[in-house]
Amino acid sequence: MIFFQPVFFAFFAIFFPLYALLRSRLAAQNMLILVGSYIFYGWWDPRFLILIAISTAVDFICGRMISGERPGAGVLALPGLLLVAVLASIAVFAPDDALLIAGMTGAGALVMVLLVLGSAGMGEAARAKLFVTASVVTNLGILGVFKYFDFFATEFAAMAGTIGWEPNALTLNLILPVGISFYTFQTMSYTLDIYRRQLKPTNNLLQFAAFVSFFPQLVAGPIERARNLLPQFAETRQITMDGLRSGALLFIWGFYKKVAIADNLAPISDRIFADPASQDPAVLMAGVLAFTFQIYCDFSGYSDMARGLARMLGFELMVNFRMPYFSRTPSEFWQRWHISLSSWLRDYLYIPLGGNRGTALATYRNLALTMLLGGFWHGAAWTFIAWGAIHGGLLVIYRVLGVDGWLESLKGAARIPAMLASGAFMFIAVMVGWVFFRAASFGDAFHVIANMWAPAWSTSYAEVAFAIGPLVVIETAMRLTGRNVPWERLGRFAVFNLVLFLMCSIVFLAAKEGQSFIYFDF
Amino acid sequence: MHLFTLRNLGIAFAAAVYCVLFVEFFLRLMAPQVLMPRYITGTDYGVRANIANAVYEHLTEEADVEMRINAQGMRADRDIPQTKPANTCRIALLGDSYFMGYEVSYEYTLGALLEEWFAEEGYRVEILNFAVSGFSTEEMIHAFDARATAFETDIAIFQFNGGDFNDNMRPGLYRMDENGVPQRTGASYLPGVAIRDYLMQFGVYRWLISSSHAYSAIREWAGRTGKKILTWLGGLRAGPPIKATTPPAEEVQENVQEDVDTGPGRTDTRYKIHRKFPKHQVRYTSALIELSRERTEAEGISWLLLEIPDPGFYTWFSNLGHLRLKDETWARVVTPMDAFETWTPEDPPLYRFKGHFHLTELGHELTTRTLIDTIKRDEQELLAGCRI
Repeated sequence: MIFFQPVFFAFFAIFFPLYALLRSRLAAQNMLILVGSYIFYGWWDPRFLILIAISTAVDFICGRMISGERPGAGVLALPGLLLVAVLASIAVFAPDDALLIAGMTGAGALVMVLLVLGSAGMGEAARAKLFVTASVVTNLGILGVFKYFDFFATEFAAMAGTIGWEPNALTLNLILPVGISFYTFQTMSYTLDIYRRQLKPTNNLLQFAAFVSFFPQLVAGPIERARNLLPQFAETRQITMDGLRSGALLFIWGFYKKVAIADNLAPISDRIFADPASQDPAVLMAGVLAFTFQIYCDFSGYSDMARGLARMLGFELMVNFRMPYFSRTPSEFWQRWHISLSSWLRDYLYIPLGGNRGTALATYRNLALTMLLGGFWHGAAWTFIAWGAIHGGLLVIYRVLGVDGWLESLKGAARIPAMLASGAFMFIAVMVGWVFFRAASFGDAFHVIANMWAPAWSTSYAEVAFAIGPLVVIETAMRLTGRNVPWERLGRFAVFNLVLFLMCSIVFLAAKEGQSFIYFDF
Repeated sequence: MHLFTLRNLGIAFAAAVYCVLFVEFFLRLMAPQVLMPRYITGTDYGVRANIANAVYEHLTEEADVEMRINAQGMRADRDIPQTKPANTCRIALLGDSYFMGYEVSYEYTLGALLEEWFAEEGYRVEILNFAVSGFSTEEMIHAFDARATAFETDIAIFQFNGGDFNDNMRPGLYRMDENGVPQRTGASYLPGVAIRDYLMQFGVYRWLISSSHAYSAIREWAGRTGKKILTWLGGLRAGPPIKATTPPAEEVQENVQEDVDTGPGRTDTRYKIHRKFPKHQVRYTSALIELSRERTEAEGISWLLLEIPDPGFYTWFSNLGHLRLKDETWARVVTPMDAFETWTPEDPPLYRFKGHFHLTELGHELTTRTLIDTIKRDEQELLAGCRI
C-alpha cells in the first residue's frame, strides 16, 4: 500500500474509526495498530512480514536479556507466538513459500532458544554483550542478505575474475523487501540504547511489535528512536481536533510535494539519466535540477505524510527535513536532510568510532567513514558509496577550512553576500552529489557532470520551474519568516486558501503516471 | 439559534462559492482545461445525435475550433438533401469524435478532406457524417440502420479504435446469443441526455460548458467515472458467453498471447499488442464489427472499417491485433499505420497531445489519403458511376 493509492484511503477509512472507537482501551488499540500495520505491509508481499516479525522477536528478547532479565522460557513464549501467528498468515496468503519460510524461521528460532537457555550461567555483562551482538548480527544479517549479498557476490566474482578464477554464479536475486533498511535500524537502536543504559526494555511485546511495525513510518521512516516512539505506545493517545487538523495539513502538504512536484519531475530526470550521452547540456542541467527537487519532494513528502498520519492517531514522530536546500555548509545540510538517518549514524556510528574526541585526523576519518557507510545504507552500488564519499569529503574539507565557524563569525555587510554565496555553492555541491546518487554508472555520472554546465536554454527548465515554483516561493517565505510549516502563524483565511491551493494542485497537477516513493528501494 | 443556523448556512454557502471561484482561477492560471462542450441530444431511434444547427467552440491549448452542425445533425458545411444527386457516390461515416473531427477545423476533418480530394481526383462524392462523440460500435450500427439507408448511401465506413472494446460494454443495445452473434435486446441508450436537454435551456449552463474550466474539469472527471461504472455494469449485464465478471489476469494475458500473431497479414511487429483488453470485450467488439458488415452489405451498401491507431509520443499502436474477424471482413479493414510510420519527429504531430488525443490536421490528411487509396483500388466496385 502506498499513501496516495485509493486502497490506502480505503484502509485508513476503516482503520481510523476503529482506532477512535478503541481510544480508552490501550491494548486493543495497540493490537489494532499491529494488525493494521501487518496488513499495510503484507499488502505488498505477505512473505516478508516474517522479517519484521523476526526483527521484532529477536530485539524484544535481546532487549530483555541485555537488561539482566533471568533467562528462561518465559522470555521466549510471546515472541514465539508472534512468529507462529505470522507464519500462519503466510501459510494462508502465500502458501507456496510457507514451508521454506517456516523451516528457516524455525532454525533461527532454535538458535535463539539455545542462546537464551545457554546464557543462564553467564555473568550479566557477558550476557548483555552476547545479546546486543545477537541483535546487531540478526538485523545486519537480514539487511546483508536481502540488500547487499548480491552486490558483494558480484564484486567478489569480478575480483576473482581478475586472477583467472571464475566462480559459479553466487547471486541470489532476492527481492529487496520494502523498508528493510528503516525498520532494522529502528529496532537496532532499541537494543543498542538498552545496552548503553539509555533506555529500559519493555516487557510488553504488543507495544514493542506495534512500535516496530507502526505503518505510517514503517517503510520509509523517519527512523524513530525507541526512546521517543516506544513510550507513546504505553500511554493512552489523545485524538484531538488540533491533532487532526495539523496532521491532515501535514499529510496534504506531503501529498502535494509527492504527486504535484516529485512525480512531475520524475519523467524529466528519468529521461536524461536513461541516456545522458544523447542529451544537450541544458537538458542535462535541467534533468539534474529536476532530480534534486524530485528526491527532496519525494522523500520529505513521504515523511510529512507519515508524520501527519501519526499525528492524527495521536503520535508525534520526529522531524525528518528542515528545508535542506537552504543549507550553507555540509554539516548544516546533514542537520536538515534525512535527520533521522543522520542522527542515527551520528549516535550509533560516528560517536562510537570516536566522534570528534580524538585527533583532528581521527575526526576526519570518522566523518568520512560515517558518510561512506551512510551512502552504502542507501543501496548496494558504488554510485551510492561515491555519493557518501562526496558528502564525507565535503564535511572534512569544510572542517579543515573552518568554514562553519567563519560564517558564524561574520558580521555586518559581509554577512549576507557570504551566506548567499555559501548557500549557492552548497546547493551546487549537493546537486553534483545527486548525479552520482541517480546515475546508473560512474560513466554516466561523469558524463553528466562534465557536460551540464554550458549556458543554454531548454524547455525542460520551464517544466522544472513550473513544478517547483510554488514550493520555492513557500519555502523561501518560511525561511525568511522562521516558520517550520507553511501554515504556522497564518490566519484562518490564509490557511483556507493554502489548503485550497494544495488540494487543487493535488487534483489537477498530479502526474498522470504515479511513481512509487524513491526511498522504498532503500 | 435560528439566526446562528442561518449565519452558518450563509458562511457555508459563501465558502462554497469562494471554493468554486478559487478552483476556476487556479485552473485558468495553472492548469487550463480542455473546453470541449458536447452539443448532444436524444433521437427517436434511441441513440444520441448532434444537436441540429448547433454552433459552438472547442478550445484547447493547441486548437480553437468552431463546431458547426447542420440541420441533419452532421458536422458539415451544408445540409445534405435526402435524395442523392445523379452521378454521385455517397459515403456514410459512422464513428465517434475522431470521425467528427474534434480538435481540427472543419476543412481538415476526414469528411471534408474526402469530399475535396475525391473531387480533385475527378469523383463526385458526398459525405454523410453520422459520427457522434462518444459513440460505440453498437450505436454506430443503430445510427446506420436509422439513417444511412434513407440517404441512399453507397459506402459505409465504420470507425474502430481501442476505446471501442470498453465503450461497447455500456449501451446494452445488443447481447450475444449462444452462437456468439449479437442480437438486438435494448431499445435505446441515451446516457445523461434528459438532464443535458433540460440544462441546455439555460444560458448559464451553456456558458459553463463552453467557458468554465472548473466545470470542464468536473465534467471530465464525472464522465470518466460514469463510464467506468457503466462499463462495469455492462460486464455484469452481458451474460454468457460474455464473462459476467471482470476476467482474471490470466485470461487477459491469454488473450494477448493468442491474438498477437493471428489474422492475415498481422504478424508485423507494428501490430504488437500494447494494451490489454479483457477477452469478453474483444470477442464482443469483434462480433459487433462482423454484424456491422453483415447489416451494411445486406442493404447493398459497401462496408469498410477504418482504424484510428492509438497515439504514442513517437510511435503509434494498432489495436487490430486483438480482433477476431472473418477473412472477408479483414479484406475490408483499413488502417493508416503505414502512412503514420512515415512520420518523423521533424513533422508536425499526428495527435493533439495537450487535448484529448484526437488526430491533428496531419493525422487526418494521412488517414484520408490511406482511405482514398484503398477505395480507389476497388474503384469499379466502390466508385462506379461517380466519375465527374
